[in-house]
Amino acid sequence: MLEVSGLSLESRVTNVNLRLSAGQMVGVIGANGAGKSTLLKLLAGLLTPSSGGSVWQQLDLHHINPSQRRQQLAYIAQQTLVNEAVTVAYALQVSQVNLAQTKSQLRHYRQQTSAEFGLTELLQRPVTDLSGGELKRVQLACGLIGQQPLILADEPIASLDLRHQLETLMLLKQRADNGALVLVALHDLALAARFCQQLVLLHQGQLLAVGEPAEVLSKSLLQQAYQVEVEWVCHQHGVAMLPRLLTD
Amino acid sequence: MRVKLWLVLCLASLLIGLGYLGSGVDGWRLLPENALESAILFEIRLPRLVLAGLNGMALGMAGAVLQLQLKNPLAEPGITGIAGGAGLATVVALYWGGLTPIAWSLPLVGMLGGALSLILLWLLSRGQMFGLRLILAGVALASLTGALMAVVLNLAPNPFAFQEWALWLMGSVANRGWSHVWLMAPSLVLALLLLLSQRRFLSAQIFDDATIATLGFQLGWNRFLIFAAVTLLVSASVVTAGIIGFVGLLAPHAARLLGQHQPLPMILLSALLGAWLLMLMDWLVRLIPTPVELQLGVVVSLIGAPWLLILLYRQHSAKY
Repeated sequence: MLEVSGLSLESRVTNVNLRLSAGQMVGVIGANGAGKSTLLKLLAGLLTPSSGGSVWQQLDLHHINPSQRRQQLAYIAQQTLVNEAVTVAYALQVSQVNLAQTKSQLRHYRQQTSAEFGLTELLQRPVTDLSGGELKRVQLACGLIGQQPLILADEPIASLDLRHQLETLMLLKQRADNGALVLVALHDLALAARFCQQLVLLHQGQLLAVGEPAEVLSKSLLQQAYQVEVEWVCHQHGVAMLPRLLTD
Repeated sequence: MRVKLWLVLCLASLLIGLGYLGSGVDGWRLLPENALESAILFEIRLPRLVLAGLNGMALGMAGAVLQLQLKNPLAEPGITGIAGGAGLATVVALYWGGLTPIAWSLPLVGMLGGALSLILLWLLSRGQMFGLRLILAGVALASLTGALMAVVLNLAPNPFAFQEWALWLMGSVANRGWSHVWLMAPSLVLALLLLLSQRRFLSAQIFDDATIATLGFQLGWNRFLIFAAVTLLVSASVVTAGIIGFVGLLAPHAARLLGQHQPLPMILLSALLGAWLLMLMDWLVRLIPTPVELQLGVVVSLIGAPWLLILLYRQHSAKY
């Protein structure tokens, strides 16, 4: 269980309260600048809150020591830069640093994650020779390689093609099905509705709504959060969202 | 290709060693034949060679560590202000001149100057020893110490003192003895041990700082230890050989161009290349016929800069 109470950081995030149980995928949505990344960074310990706190499985996330946090939490940044022309295999190995696991377990995780993200063929390639999409997959694999129970992913499907967007969200969903709590910041509301059990809608740093996608993705809430008029259209393949600017 | 390059490097190293250490007064001989030649070999040339090698190692290692830590391929010991701090403290001590009776006092003051620069860097970067703030603080500190050194030189009591201090600042391993080697070696060993204790943190430097912050390190402490090692390396180099630029920039790039990109092997290869480079340059200093022996730091920059440009030109299509 993740309990966030009164979490604030100046005006970027104000008085956010959440109670999210493990074993589900939760989408964090909102317009640009709504505070999605800031919220995830606060939970990841990258930013220090000005007030409030967060507790995960009875551990205070803001006062936990880095080693404990490492075992509990995986954070995937919007963009991870690899600064040296090391191989994919080496980057994966280094991303397992400080994980309290046996060597054979770590090797197993590496093989499993490489296969999951389709990196087996790329293992010996320098990261500087990869395409944007391949690099993004390496970044995701590096973030998820530790099998931690709390996963915070900040726009993990940005710059991925349609197939890899779906595959990535399916992998995150699979982690949630296996018992992890996955918080994922997303811009694609249709995918958020499809993959997430709950959505957290932020607006100007404040929590506007939290609940099941059908409740949160209502016309009025989306209009308030995104300043657009949204129409949900049902068709033979499913549901599509048609956004319109309010001035249209 | 890489094997051939290594063979060439090894052969060149052997030739440097032989060329450097030849002991004959009236022609080259490997082994000394009398007491004078023995003194030349063991008391002058050998410590000079070893000191050049150790300095190159220290600067090559420090440069590689700084480039990794600051995520900046232009980083080198000079931009941190640590070399400037050690140099300034030494020049100030020379100006007051009251320290010469104790042999270890001058180097000690230089080392303290380097340590003081580290503390200032830590304060100026508000304890965050990474990122642009640290680089800017280092550049400002380097400029300030450089200006203050110029002031001290300007106030030199006589032209001889001015010339002596100015030449010392240009960097050289001439007229050094085993005492300088014994000063350099423990700092190098201690710095190496510090860096080895931080090997995981150094390996993680392939990632950006935000990612590293989530990998379970005690960031402030890890970064401070890394900079303490760099301070030891750079300060020891400055107090034994003056300010030798460029090796710290060139050696890590040469290591990458030789195909080594993993942090720890890259740091070690950079140290070896730094040692090789400085020994080669010092040999050239001795060979180049000039009325006054050129300073090592000057020759390193004169030859190193075009060499780096050639390497970069030949590697135009490679990314590293």
